[in-house]
Formats: sequence, C-alpha cells, structure tokens
Amino acid sequence: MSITGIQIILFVLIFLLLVRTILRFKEGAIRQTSFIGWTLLWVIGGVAVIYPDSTGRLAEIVGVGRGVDVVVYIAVVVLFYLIFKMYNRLNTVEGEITKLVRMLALHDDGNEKKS
Amino acid sequence: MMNKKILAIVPAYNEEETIGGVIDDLLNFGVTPIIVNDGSKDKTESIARSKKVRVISHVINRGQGAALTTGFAYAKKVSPDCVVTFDSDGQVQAKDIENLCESVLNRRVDVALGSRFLMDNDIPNLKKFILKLALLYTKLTTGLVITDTHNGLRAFSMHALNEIKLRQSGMAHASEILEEIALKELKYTEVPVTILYSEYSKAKGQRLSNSVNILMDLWFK
Repeated sequence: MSITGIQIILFVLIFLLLVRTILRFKEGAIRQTSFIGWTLLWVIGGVAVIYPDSTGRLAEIVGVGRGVDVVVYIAVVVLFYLIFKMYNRLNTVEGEITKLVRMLALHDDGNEKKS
Repeated sequence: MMNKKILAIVPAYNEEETIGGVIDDLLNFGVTPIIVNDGSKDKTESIARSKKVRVISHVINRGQGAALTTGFAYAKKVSPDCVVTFDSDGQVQAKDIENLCESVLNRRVDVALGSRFLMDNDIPNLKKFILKLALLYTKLTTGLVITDTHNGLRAFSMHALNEIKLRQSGMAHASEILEEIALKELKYTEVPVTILYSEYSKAKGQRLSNSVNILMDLWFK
C-alpha cells in the first residue's frame, strides 16, 4: 500500500491538532468531556486518512459514489449548521449590545442637566 | 397645532453639517426635537447640545433603526400627542409636519407616512427606480399599497408607538415599520412631503446597493 502526499499532510495536521488538544486539556482550558469528544474526532479523522478505503465502505453503505464524496457532503452539512448557529448567535449578541447602549443612553439622559 | 405636543425624533450619525439647521427648522415650527446621537464621531452632539434641545446619545453606533427605537422609548415616557420621525440630513422639511400630523391628531389614523411621490419632487432616476421596486416588494409582502416606502418623515400616535415592535437596527427598519403597520392593522394614510436633495445628502445617502443588505436583513435577521 503506497502512501500519498496528501495522506502525509493531512495526518501531520491532524496529529498537530491532537497534540494541541492534549496540551489545552492539560492547561485546563478544555473540559474532560470535550477533550474526549475532540480526541475522538481527530482519531476518526486520522483513521480515515490512513485507511482511505474505510470511507469507501461508508460510501457503499449510504449509497454515494466515493468515500471522499461522503466526507465532503458531511463536512458541508456540518459547516452550514455551524454557520447558521453562529449567525444567530451574532444577531443575538448585536441585539444585546444595542439594548445595553440604549439603556446607557436613556439612563445618562436622565442624569444630564435638563437642557 | 400649537397647543398640541409634537415630538420629532431625529436620529443623527455624523451630521455636523446639517444638524444645526434641522434643529432650527423644527424649533421654528414649534416642534420639540429629540436628537438621538447614534455614536457620532464629529461635532454632531456638541452642536445639538448647544441648541439646548434634548440629546440622547448612543455611546457607539448602532444603526438608524436602533436610534429610532431609542427615541421611541423616550417618547413613550413623555406621551406626546404625536411623534414624528425626522431625518437629520436636511432632506425633509419641518413645514410638512403640520400636514403630516393633522390626521393623527384628529385621530383619523394611527400613522401618517410622508410620500415624495405625491408631490412634484425632483428625484434622481436610479433612486426612483429602486424605490419603485421597494414599493412592489412592500405590496407583495405586506399588502400595503404605499407610494413611498423609505421616507424618513412619518407621524405616529402613541397607540401606534405602543403597538409597533422594532427589531431591525439597520436601514431595514423602514420596511419593518411597514410590516408592523400591516401586522397590527394600524390605520394609516400618506401625505405629500417635500424632499430636498442636496449634493451633501445625495453623497451621504444610502448606496442603492444597500437594498441587497436590507433584503438580507428582512429575510434572515
């Protein structure tokens, strides 16, 4: 089984991400459950990179042409979901900032010398 | 009109060139200006304060819709006979307020909307085209048949103010106001008003491409 360039690149990247995750967990920046979650994600990614045929099996099961296609489809859906969540979060935060600014404005107005 | 209390909410963002004139114009017609300074970085606030009128200031810029909502929040505490929204760039004229408020003060309607198209105004062609598109969109989405959907001059009764819930902070507020009028089934009318386009206000005015942003805000925010 010959190893391709992209496999090396992806594996190195995933490995670095795993190392980063472990370090952050040791710092206390990540909770235990999250640490497990992320590590699992990297391990699955690593396995898919080392054994690319494994995605082919998955593709067969769900009825898609190639393993790579399955990975991309899943990634796209996940990205849409994340963007949707972030967009909503952003709007909520902006609304809260405006509410704060309004409160300050009306409160300060009450304290201004009556003009 | 002189014995009725009329508040003019004037949202202003970096309008040091025109804010003085706008305040004078309003005071001349016996209207109480409430300047909502939306985080201006120029002399807007100091000029307004020097005129001894009420100035409410946002510490940071939040958008014209947010500024109007702040003005409305203030107005609800004061409970005037009529609340007018008035642009700070010199495009609208205080002389139109009397006509505008008449049907609101007589309780015939809850909202009076200014329309530049009901009168012979000189309107730049491309702007006219975009506004006509906006009219069609408004008709389709709210069922309201209005000739000028983005006019800064509007008059509201307190009942209307209490009914209308504004969530849009940006320029989409104009469309949101119309949606609320339709949703809350408020009685409305249109009144011809003069719009004066100056080089200043044309340069500062919304880029027509902003229509896309407004639609995105209306549909997804």
